[in-house]
Amino acid sequence: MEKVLRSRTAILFFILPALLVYTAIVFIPIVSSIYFSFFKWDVVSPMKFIGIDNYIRMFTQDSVFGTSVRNMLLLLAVSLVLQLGMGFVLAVVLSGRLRGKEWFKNVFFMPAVISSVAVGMMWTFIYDPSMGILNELLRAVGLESWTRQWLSDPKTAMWAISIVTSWQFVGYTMILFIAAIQNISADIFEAARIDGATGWKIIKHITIPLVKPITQVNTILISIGSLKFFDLIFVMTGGGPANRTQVIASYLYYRSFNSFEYGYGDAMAVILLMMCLIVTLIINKLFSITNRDF
Amino acid sequence: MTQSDVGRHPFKMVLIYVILGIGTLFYLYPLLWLILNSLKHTPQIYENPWGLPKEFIWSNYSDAWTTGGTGEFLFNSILITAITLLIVVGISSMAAYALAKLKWKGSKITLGYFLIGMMVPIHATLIPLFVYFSKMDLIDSHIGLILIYAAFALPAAILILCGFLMAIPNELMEAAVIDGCSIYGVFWRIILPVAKSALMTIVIFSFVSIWNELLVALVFISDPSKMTLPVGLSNFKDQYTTDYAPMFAAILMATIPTITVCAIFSKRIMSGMAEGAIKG
Repeated sequence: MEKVLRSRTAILFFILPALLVYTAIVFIPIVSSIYFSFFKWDVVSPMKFIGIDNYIRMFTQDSVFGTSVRNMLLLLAVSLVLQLGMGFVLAVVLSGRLRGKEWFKNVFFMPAVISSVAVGMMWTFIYDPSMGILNELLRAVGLESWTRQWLSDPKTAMWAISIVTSWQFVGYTMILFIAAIQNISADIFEAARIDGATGWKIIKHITIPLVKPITQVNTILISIGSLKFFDLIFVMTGGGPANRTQVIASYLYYRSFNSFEYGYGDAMAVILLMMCLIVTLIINKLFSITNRDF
Repeated sequence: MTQSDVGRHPFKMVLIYVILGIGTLFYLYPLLWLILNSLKHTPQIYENPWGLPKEFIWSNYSDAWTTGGTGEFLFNSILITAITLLIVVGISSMAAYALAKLKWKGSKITLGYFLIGMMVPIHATLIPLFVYFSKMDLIDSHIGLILIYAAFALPAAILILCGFLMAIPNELMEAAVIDGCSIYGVFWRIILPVAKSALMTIVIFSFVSIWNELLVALVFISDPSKMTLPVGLSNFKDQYTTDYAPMFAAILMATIPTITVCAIFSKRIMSGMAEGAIKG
């Protein structure tokens, strides 16, 4: 048996296809990205080594990059608050005994599986200043003065987009919380109730602490999702007006494939990669610290 | 009601249903609005965005399907997603078998090497891939897209499968080997059938992200006849800048198949998405 499991040809046969595809498409390009990021390289001029100039330019001269980071942080904050908050509340309600809960789960989960392009286009029309539902609704209830061009007003555009992404993914957050709540043994709730604990107390002292691992998963998913955020920006505003709604991924895209600044685009890609790694590490660290309290 | 005491007081119940009802409206009304307006002439949308269509303009749908190219996009998306999923299932289960069951030095390091990929955003590979693929004539090619999608779906798939395979005992394999089954036969006759549910999770989890992927398809495909649904749809915006009705029809045709499939398999999909995210 041992001998059979050590057959070298068999091992190579099974591991090589995945190893080759992964190395060629994920690993080598990552290394190349890091390498290219030290070059000035675009369609007009040949590759020229410039050290860390791309990074200096990104952090000190390019104000749009700063805007992109700020927008990403706003998006992250809105998504964390809305998705974790609403997702948890919905999960608590819909994991109880409630007639029609499967229907509600489906309704709230549905947008998470349809494409962000379709969602973005739909919401572009909801926000449309002349025929959109939102302005019509405000006019109908007498709040005429609140109507505005939601997506072309720099003050509201990023908020408007952040709401859409929370609308789209709150169901996903909810599903994960529901899975976690259903994993809690019924005995624990029963015991708490016998001890006289009710509603809020149960949620605060049992549900919230016991779903913590899933809160961690949700936090990571939302954070990485915000870092990689692209589709809705591309569809709804294209980063406009005047780059005011750029996020890192969209700005990287426009720099790389509209103005073809490969070196600069790669420097941004490297920063994005590092942010993804760092954010994951920080969140895991934070949760492992707070875990000691329980 | 083992989990919380929602539902004990009638007043509370009414409140909960009212809030859930408002939530439902918030989720379904946009869709309804889209359906109604996809059946109007564009000028009528401006005149009366709220009301029912005066007459049903079904030609919006045929316009979007043929002239708009939605039919072609749908075909491309189905083709690309199906082939990618086949590749992912095939090579990830092979790799997981080698990593979790076969005995060799370096299997742990190799698993770690694959897992790094889970934290890599696809964006960080776009420029080098674009440059290399240009040289290999893989731009505007479905093969290029499939390779990228498969590669990025691998790490999570391998992790889920390895976890699954490590948990099943070796006796089954041993018995098969004693009965004269080869190492390849074990994979085919024991591992694959046993791992069916884990493979299903991978398929569901990867399907949603591949089917909806925009950025990579945008960078690598510019020929309209090769576009996937998300790119083709986003392209509509420029094509039909003023004629909204066919665009609404296209959005609906692109989303309704997904919604239908999800409604039918909702339980399996929700648990698949949850498992995929938790284990991935």
